[in-house]
Amino acid sequence: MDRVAPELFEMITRFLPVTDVKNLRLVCKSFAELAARPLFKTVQIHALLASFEKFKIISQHETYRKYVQILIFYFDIFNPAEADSGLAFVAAFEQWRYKIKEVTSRYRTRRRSKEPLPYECSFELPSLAMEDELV
Amino acid sequence: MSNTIILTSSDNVEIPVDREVAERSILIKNMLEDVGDAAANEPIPIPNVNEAVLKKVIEWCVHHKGDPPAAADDETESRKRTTEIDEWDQKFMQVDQEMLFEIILAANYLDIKALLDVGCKTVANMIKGKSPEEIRKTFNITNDFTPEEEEQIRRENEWAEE
Repeated sequence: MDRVAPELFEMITRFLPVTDVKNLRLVCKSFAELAARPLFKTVQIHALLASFEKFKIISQHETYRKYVQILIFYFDIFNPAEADSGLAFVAAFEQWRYKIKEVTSRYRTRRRSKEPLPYECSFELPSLAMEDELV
Repeated sequence: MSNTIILTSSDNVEIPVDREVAERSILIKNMLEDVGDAAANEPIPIPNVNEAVLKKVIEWCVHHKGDPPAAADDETESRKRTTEIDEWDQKFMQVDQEMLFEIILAANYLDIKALLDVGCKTVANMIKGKSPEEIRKTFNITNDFTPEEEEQIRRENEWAEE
């Protein structure tokens, strides 16, 4: 397995769910390097501070910023305005959390540039003409 | 107009093979097209593959002779690709790890996409659902992380999506 070229290693990881690719990274140093490429190829960005934080960390990482090829933006924004009680608030929050996982309205973009992600990442969001109602 | 061609393995063994079978390899197919029929009677050197592996690869090509060509790969869907392997291929891949990786390398070199996929799926199935320690045991790999380095990888993994 350790003799396998990086391209072949990546081919094997294509048949694996992300959890297994993560476990591969914990096997040894060379696997940690080899499995990083497929792992950071796609970055999903939710309208959540924690998600922006993660994106920032990746975009400032010397190695991983080079691997990012696909960015996926999720647009559902949590708005508790309609919730008139504590319980309704919790219910709305749970519903929203479920929604962002279920891939509703989203924007997927493939980076054309082979350059690493820029350090200071700013991106123009496409117009929000989504089928989904943005609350 | 011979329908049989001869492949020469890296250890200099000549192996006759049906041209149609050999042309499952895009590398060989292109070579034959380039040299033309006149030169197709001469042995074709396969310098990266030894006799045992080459015979195994040919065995696979014979079995899959009539297969329709694979559909073009959709890279975006790659993560969802199934690791199901048909029964014959599963048996075919029941070899020691050394041979398994030799077959994968040969399939890659000879450009036999379907065989390469079967090989990669077989390895993927040996990894699926296993803990890092179990993967180490399976492939006889030594853990060369310090606890701090391992913790660092764990943290990095959290940045990537589930």
